[in-house]
Amino acid sequence: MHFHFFVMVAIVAMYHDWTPFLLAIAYVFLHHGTLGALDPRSVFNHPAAMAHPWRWAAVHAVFIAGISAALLTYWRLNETYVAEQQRAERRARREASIVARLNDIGRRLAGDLDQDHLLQSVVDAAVELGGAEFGAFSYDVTSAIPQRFRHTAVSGDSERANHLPLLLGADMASSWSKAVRSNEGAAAIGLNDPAGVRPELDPEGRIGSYLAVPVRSRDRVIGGLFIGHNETGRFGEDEERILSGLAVHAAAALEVATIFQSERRARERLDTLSRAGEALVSSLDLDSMMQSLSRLVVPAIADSFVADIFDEEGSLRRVIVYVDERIEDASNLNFAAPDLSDETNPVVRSLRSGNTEVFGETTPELLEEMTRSITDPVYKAFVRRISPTSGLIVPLRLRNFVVGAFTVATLRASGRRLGPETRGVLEDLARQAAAAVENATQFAKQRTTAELLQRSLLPHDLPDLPGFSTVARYVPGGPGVGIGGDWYEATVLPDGSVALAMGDVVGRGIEAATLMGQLKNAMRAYALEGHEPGELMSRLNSLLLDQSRNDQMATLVYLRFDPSSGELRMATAGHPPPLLISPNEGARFLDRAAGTPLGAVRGARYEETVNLLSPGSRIVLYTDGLVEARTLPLDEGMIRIHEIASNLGHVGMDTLCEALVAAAPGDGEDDTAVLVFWWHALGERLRFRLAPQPDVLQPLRATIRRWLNDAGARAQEKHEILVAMSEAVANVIQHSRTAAPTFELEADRTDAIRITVRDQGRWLQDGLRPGGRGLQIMREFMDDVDIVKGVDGTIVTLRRSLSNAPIPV
Amino acid sequence: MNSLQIDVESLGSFAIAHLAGEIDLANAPNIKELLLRAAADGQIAGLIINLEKVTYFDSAGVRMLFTVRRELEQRRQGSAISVPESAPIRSLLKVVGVEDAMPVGSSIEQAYDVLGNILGVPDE
Repeated sequence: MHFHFFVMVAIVAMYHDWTPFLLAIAYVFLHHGTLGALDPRSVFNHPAAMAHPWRWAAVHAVFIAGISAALLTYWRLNETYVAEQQRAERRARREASIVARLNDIGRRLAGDLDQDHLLQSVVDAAVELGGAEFGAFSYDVTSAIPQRFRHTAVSGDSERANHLPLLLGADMASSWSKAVRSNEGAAAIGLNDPAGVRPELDPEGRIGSYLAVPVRSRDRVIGGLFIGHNETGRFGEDEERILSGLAVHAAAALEVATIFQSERRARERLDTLSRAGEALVSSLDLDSMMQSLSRLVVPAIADSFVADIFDEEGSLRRVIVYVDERIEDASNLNFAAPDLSDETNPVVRSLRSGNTEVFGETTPELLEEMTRSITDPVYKAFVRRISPTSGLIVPLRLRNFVVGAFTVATLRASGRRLGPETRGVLEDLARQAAAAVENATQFAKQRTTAELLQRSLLPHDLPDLPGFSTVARYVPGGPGVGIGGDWYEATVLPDGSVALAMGDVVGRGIEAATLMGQLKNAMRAYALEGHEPGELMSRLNSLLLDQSRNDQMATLVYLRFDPSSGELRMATAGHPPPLLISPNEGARFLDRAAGTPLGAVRGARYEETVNLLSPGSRIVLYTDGLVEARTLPLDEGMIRIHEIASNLGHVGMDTLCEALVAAAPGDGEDDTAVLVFWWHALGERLRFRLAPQPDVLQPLRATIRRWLNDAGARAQEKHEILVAMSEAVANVIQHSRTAAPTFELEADRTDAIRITVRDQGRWLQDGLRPGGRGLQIMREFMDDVDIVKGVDGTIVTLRRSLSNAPIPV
Repeated sequence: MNSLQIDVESLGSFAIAHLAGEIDLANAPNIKELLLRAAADGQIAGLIINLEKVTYFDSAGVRMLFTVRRELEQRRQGSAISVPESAPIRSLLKVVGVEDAMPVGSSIEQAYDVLGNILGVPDE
């Protein structure tokens, strides 16, 4: 029929264009018209068509035109659709590659703990991915005080890059809130941020395009990421997305790096403080001492430091007010100590109670209490202005009196709070400072030789090994009474058992103190030789009878506790009985084994009593000053401390000790010593901090042996693990530089046995050399030996699975 | 540290040093002196070091044994170790090659025989 018609349409359809269509329309019109005019039958078979061939040719041409138009419309639409799809695909690919790049950068950043390096990597990546010429990353380093602690890393043309952060305005926290983009030069940006309009910063118009995104961490702006280009029109939504993505990664990485650095700082801080404390004792000038203390505390752990110290006349003097200079200049203040009669003042409260005062956000009431007794208006205004956000007042206590107080606080401007470790650090510092203050205020001059001698004989450090805790207090008798002969000792014996002793030399003064020293040294020697309590007592008795000239006598209780069996052996020489606080049965006095005081009867025999302790038990040793006075009969005193032990037996060791000391008759007749020993079971994980000396090895092995026993290790395994551990420790002892005062050992049996020895010093060249015997032994006896030598020291990790690891029930 | 005991007896021309306790970095130098002193008499042909009662022993002890062996050798004296096969410390002696470097017996008698054979001292 109209075969040629369809062929025509099909052919024409191959071209997606008007030209063939026009040609086809013309052809159909001319062909049908001409042929129709010459011989209508060859073209048309309808009578009407045959009558008007040109008109019908036109009708056909219109048909073709219609079909062509329909096809063309369809093709055009289709083309647009395909093109759009391709664009979307290209875009998706590009975005995927950006995301991949971002993730890759994020991963690299996450492992980077060096802040400077990290900032640089971020800004380099921003410039590269954002197609910029230069860039900057401005970061609020301290996360504390805006405006003044900004650290900026730049990439590319540093002169122009350095301009970038300035354009957003100075106050990071308030004006760096959202991304800002400009493609018409730096002068044009910031219009939506009135505070930040600073066209004069780029007067020559060298910054053509500009993009800035804030870096947020937990809803807080911690910095900004900026890129720029000297041409206009460079940055669009893509670049903004890239930069925003980078900002997220950067914030996460910075957080990790900051935590890491602050942790390291916290460690260093503790080290510094402990060293500072020792240094303080040598100083005799109070003001310079407090000066150096203030610089240790501020800004490391707080923003302000105030010291109030009693002078020789007993009046309180505010020695120093020091505030972080970046917040406020306190150097010209005319400050004064609080009025001691103002009992609402928190410092006065702390001085009176001898307790640490903690305060949080300053309330108007607290501010009123703090400033009520301040007379100088400038100083008053100053205290109100700096408005503390958290603070601690720590009294400086020396035995049973308070010599002053430290007040530290964080201030609103820094936006931080005192860390959880601050209280402990400050109380430690206060303890050390109290002694130093005492020296400085020349109390020391009045100190008698005897008291110095006695104090030097009390142990400075009670043993600190996992599984045990020991706390002791010594309170001398009041003034004019002279020095008593109370002493105590707690030490770990080579076999891992613990020796505890509490003694009282009858009499006072130098003679008593000297005898005390002799007894104590002899006791230590006998204990180390492994003598049991009864035998030890007899020997001390003979020694005293042989050596003392004036029929001197002493009382003593000596206990030897073996943690591997829980056995406690005790002998008493005329000393009041220790208190045992067991976790299940409460408090009771250990049966007094008959015993005459040392130095009373030649050949006296001392019976031993044996008790079995359960883990968690505490033992309280004390001298008669705690339970006896003219005003307090002995049995009443004993009832009193029994009651305290029953009620407070399981609270914190310090609290228990304080409560006992507070219960002492306190009429200043006699000095008082209290020692509390606590045996807690060894946990799955142990941590030791030890001095690198050979004599730590044996007690350490004893503890680890017991711990391995609990883990079900066999004899051979135990020995091999102990040897491997000792090799690692011996290496620290022999090869670490003396600069490191301690090393750490961690033992973990939660999975396999894992022992980590961490040494802060640097090993000498020959430490654990490959092929050395120590290393060979460790490798032979353990499943895994891992040695990491770093700048801060060396970490040796030993691992071994036990053959009979407990089967889960 | 007094965690180690040392008793010396003589058996024929040999001296026997019985050690009991733990040997480590802290006491190895002292023990070395004591062992050398135990064999100080020139009449003594050799020293048997009995480690049966030693509960702990590590590379400090190994170093000490090697030093003692060398010094005795210079004085033309022999040395041997007695330690039961079942003792936990035996594995260490194997690992660091003590057993290859000096005679080791599982009992004093065995150590005595081995050392006697080496030094050519006739059985009594």
